[in-house]
Amino acid sequence: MTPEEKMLERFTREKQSRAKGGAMFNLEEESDLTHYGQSLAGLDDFDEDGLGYSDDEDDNRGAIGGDIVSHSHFGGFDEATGPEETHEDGRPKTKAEIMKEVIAKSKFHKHERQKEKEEMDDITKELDDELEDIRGLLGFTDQAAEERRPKRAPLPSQKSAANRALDRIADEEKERQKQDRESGILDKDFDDSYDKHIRELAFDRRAKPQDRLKTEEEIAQEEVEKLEKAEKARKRRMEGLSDEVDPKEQGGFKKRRKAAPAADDLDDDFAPEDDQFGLGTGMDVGEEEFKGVKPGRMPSKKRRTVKVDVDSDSEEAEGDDEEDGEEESSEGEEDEDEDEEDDDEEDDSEDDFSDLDMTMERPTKKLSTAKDEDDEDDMNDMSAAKSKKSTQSGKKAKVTADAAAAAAELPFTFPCPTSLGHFMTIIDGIDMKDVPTVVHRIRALYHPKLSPQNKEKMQVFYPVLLDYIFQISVSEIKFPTAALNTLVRHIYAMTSQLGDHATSCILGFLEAFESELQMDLASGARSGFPKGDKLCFLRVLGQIYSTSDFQHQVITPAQFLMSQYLGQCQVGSVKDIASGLMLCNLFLDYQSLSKRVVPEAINFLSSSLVYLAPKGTFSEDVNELPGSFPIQEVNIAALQMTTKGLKSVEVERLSIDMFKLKDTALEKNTYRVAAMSAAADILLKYAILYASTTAFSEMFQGPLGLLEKLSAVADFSPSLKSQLLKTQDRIQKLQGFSTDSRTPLQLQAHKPVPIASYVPKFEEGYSLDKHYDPDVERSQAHKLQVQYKKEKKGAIRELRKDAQFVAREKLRVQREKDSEYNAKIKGIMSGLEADQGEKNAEARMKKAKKMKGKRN
Amino acid sequence: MAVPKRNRLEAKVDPSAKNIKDAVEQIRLLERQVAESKTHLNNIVTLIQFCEDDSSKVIHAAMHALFRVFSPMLSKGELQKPKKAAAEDKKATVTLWLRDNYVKYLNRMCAILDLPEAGLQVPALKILLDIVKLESAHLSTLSGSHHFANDIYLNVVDALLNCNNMSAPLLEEFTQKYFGFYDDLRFYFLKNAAQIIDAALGSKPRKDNKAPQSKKQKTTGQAPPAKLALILENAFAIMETLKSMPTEVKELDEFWTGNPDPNNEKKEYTGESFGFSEDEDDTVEDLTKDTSASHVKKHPLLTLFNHRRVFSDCWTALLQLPFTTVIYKKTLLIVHKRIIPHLPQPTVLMDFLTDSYNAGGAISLLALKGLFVLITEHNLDYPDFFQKLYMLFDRNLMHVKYRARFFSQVDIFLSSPLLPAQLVAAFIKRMSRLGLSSPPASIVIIIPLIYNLLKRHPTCMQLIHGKADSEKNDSYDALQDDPMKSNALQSSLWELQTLQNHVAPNVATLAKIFNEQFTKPSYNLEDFLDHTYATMFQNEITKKRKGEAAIAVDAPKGLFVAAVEMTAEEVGEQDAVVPGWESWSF
Repeated sequence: MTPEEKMLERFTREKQSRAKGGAMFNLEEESDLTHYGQSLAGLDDFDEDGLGYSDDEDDNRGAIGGDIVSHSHFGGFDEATGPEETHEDGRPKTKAEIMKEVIAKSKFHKHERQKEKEEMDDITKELDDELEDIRGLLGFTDQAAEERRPKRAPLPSQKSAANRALDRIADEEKERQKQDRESGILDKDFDDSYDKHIRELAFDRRAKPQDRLKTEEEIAQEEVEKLEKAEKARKRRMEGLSDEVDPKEQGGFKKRRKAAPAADDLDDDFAPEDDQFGLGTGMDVGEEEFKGVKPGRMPSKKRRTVKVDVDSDSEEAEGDDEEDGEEESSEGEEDEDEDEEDDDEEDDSEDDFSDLDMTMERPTKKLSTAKDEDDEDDMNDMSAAKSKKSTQSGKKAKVTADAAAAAAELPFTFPCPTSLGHFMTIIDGIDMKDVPTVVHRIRALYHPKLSPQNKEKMQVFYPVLLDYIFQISVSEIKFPTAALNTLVRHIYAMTSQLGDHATSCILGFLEAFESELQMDLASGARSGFPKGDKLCFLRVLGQIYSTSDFQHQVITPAQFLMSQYLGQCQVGSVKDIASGLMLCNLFLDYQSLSKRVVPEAINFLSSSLVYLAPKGTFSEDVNELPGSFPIQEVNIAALQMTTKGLKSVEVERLSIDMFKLKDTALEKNTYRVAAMSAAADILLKYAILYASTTAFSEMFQGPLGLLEKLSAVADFSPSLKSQLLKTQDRIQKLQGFSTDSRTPLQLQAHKPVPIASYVPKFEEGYSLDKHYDPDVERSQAHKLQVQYKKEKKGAIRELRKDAQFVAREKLRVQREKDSEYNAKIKGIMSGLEADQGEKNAEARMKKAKKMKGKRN
Repeated sequence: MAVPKRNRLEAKVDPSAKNIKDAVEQIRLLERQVAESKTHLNNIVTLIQFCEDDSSKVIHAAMHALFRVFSPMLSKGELQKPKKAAAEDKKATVTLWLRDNYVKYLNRMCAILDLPEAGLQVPALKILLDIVKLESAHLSTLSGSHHFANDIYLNVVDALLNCNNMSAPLLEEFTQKYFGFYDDLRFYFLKNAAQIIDAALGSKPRKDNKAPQSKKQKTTGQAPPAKLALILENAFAIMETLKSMPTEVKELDEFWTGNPDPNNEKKEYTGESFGFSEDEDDTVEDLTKDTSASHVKKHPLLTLFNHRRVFSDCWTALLQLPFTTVIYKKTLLIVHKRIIPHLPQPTVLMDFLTDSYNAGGAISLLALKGLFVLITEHNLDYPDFFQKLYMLFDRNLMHVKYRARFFSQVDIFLSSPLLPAQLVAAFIKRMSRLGLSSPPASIVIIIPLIYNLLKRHPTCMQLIHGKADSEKNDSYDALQDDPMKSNALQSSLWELQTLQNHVAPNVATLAKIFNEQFTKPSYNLEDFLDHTYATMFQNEITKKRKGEAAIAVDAPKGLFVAAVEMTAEEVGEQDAVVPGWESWSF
């Protein structure tokens, strides 16, 4: 570098450092560019350092190391190359020595490589051996292997893993084959079988990619979605729409049309609908005069007989068989790889028997001693894996200690009951609290998935179980809440399992109730109010079916029945009132989501307040009472509270067991107070339920008036009084809100209906020749007529032409004949004329001769 | 002369013979003996005694035997009272004796009608009516003109009306085969029944002429209430079945006792009749006086007016009896169809119906129909009719059995488009208010009715489509009795909107018609009247099922599960509160 250049360099350096924005923020003094920690400044641009051909290295396997080449090959052997080419003692190596070294090194390398290869072979061999093991998993159709092992399909999780392994193995196999062929160690037998495998692999249908197993979050998410979907379907049903089809897709056009008729709508598409509102036909006209009751109609038990649908059953059976097969195969595999299988097995059983999964579920109780655990598992080994789920959710609970102990003594198999009597003999001697266990075992034993006949058995068992529920709800001294709580879950599961059959069964029960009620009403001997069993049954219905539906196959008739109980039964005792109150509460339960109006319930609650009130609270004249609920003529003495000692009677809760008591036993103020308090309580609940309805104030006007009077009664105990006051206060407030928020109805805010158009239809480019008959039939007939006419004309013309032709031909032939004849005649005549002429000429000549002769 | 014979016979007959078969045999024997010769006439006494037997079989056999004994005598006139009751005349003595027994027999037969055994009542009735026929025939031939043996028939009617054991077969037998079928039997029954009831009531007979009362019924005082109730019940049971009242003269063609010749003018029967009463045809004569004076006098049985007249008399008498509620209701149910059309002067029922209408409750509802007929067809003017109708819409209206009948009439009453809107609005509002506490079957009636009214009175449309800024408070006064003052027109039908959310799906659907355009001219109310809980339930249950019933979204936790977790000690008590069921313990 010249001094000038040096100066220039310095200058530029300084400039650069200044341009960088001052040293104040420059933490690093040095700003040299580096690469791999080396300053780039010191590098010569044309040094080929680090630019070696990297791919060369792949190819130089088996070759001599680079340093050796550079030193010893062509142009090598330079004496002064490096210090390493010297002996320890410092003298330089001889060429022979160097060559020896080279040879030794290359030999060493070769040896190394061989060793590596051997190792590789070993590994490959090992892998080959292992392939046999894996192959089972891959589902090859190796006969020998098949025979050796029970059949088993790969599990979904394994399939995808196996697929990947398969690809890898196939590649490796190919590689190895090549090497083997080269090395000549090809084993003939092995090769054959191996080739076979390869071919099989090639032709085998590749396992399809499967959905991966879901994570817990996803499962939870799915659960949420399922619930949301179910809720959505429920809402749709509540609005009276079909739960599956979207309104936009189905009947959308019709709907729209109804809302806004088109301009050319002549309203001529109106057809009288027979039963627009689903009211049915009503009564026969003849019945009108003595309506109300049809005595003597026996309850039809038809529905309760078991109907077995053969077709669907056989289908079901097929499906079951398939599934069974799958189950079996998976079970056979179980013993081998226990660990892996476990999860899947769990899932399977979970799916199939999830409906049995309510065994001893008791949210209030949790016990987990080892013994119990065992019992539980033994009892239903099919759903052994449930314990996992239950611990997960934390809600699943175990059998109570005593129940489990008892269950241990219970037999594990039972015959499937065919009648209530049969069932009673089965559970004879078994404690009530173990009956659910028995039911569970029966259901597990005769699960429809296990055998096609089981479905029929279950169909028989279902009404039996219902009958049993009836029986225990009245026969036991204490209402068996615990047993029923478990049984209702079985009923729920069986209902969803049996579907339509269950519906028929339950409708049969309802029909029997109804006819019984009809007879009670007709005879007048009993009040007709349902007792504990029917109430219990109705409660079960509310639990197992979706009660919020606008129209439901079971719930709608059940509600009609309940309304009839409330509306038509004659109140005769406190028991009747309690029964009615329970019905009201059931209705409240049924309608808790859909909030539909049940006038009968409000009527009943109001009138029972009147009946129960102590004498003198309300006037005798029914028209003086507030509201518009109906008042029956009742035996008021049994119902009315007596003022004596009333003050000391505190509010108690009504018991479901009171239906078993005698009417006279209930004629106590305790029960009356309890009933009145319950009525007020339920009334308040109804008020809260209906708070948003527009006619709230009209609806609760009556009850409110009653409560006002009742809370003014001095004889009540403080607890009853405070409750009445509270109820009154709440309803009053709700009424206030309701009247404040409501506005006059505007139900007819429709779009104006366009006036039907009667403008005639004009035809563009009308032509006289065309026919515009809108009546297709007539126009076609006309067309046919025209065609016929045309054809006829044509035919006539043709015939005429033919006739003319024939005539012409005839004439021609005639003429020919004529001319021929004429020619002939002419010839003859000319012959004759010539003869005559000759004759004449002769005669003339004779004459002339004569004349000549004469003259001469 | 008869005494020794009878003793002998009595000796022969073992009165203590328990064997009924023997008795029956014996009766046959006795009967045969009587038929063989007149020497055995005394057997009749034994036979009459058999009629008092305990065994119904014996009675049955005896009364038939006696009928067979008496019937030939009747037709031969052997039982006729001799003209001169000469004691020395042996034949007359026998006839008198026979006649006494015959009367005894008839009395016994009437008594048998009162027995609790229907198997005896029916044949007894048959025999009695056959005797009436025989006697009438005999009397007719005797007098040369038609004659009805009403004296016997009166006793039959009396027995029937006072029957303590009116059995269904007896009632059916009488009403179907005789009373409802034969014009003369019906005519005389009505006539006799009116007499008997009047007598029982102790009221003075309506007609000025001599009362054709039997000696028995000549009591002036009122009979005890129990008897009146009995008569009422029996008379009503029989009258209720009467559907075959003739409406034209030519319908009078079925006669039990032979057709009285219409051309032959009736001659006064001069011959002595026997039996209980001597004069039985005077009333019949009297009835014809006012009508058939101008034209040719017909036999009274052939004049429609006479039939109507006795019908009217009978009902008027019947209505004076102290009515029970059941019979009251039943009467009102048939009054428009079976009574009013057959009365010569329907206005006689005016007071009865007006009183019924004012009675309130179900009686009022039922009286409405009859009153309606009187108003529309017989020019009855009823003041404040609509106000009274409005007041009938009380708290129990929607729940009574007769609501369908009532509403079909309300539909007619309110059908005039000229009614003031204020009035119609009051009715609409009242109905919808009641609808809030009605069974579904009633709601189903009022909704189309309200629709029809709204359609007919467009002014009332503001009830379902008011101005948004109008007053929020309900101006309707539910306690006001006068519909014109109830201020209903300024109100709004929130009740109907609430009913659109009724628990019964069909009711809810029906209530939604008020949201739609009022394109339908009117609903035919008849289609909506005949529903009950039972029919609606049946309809639901027999409905074609689409798909499976929807199962509850959440599996039930149990039948009654407490919300709070119970500790081990509490489990035994089972006293936890079930949510939603706070007033119950399980």
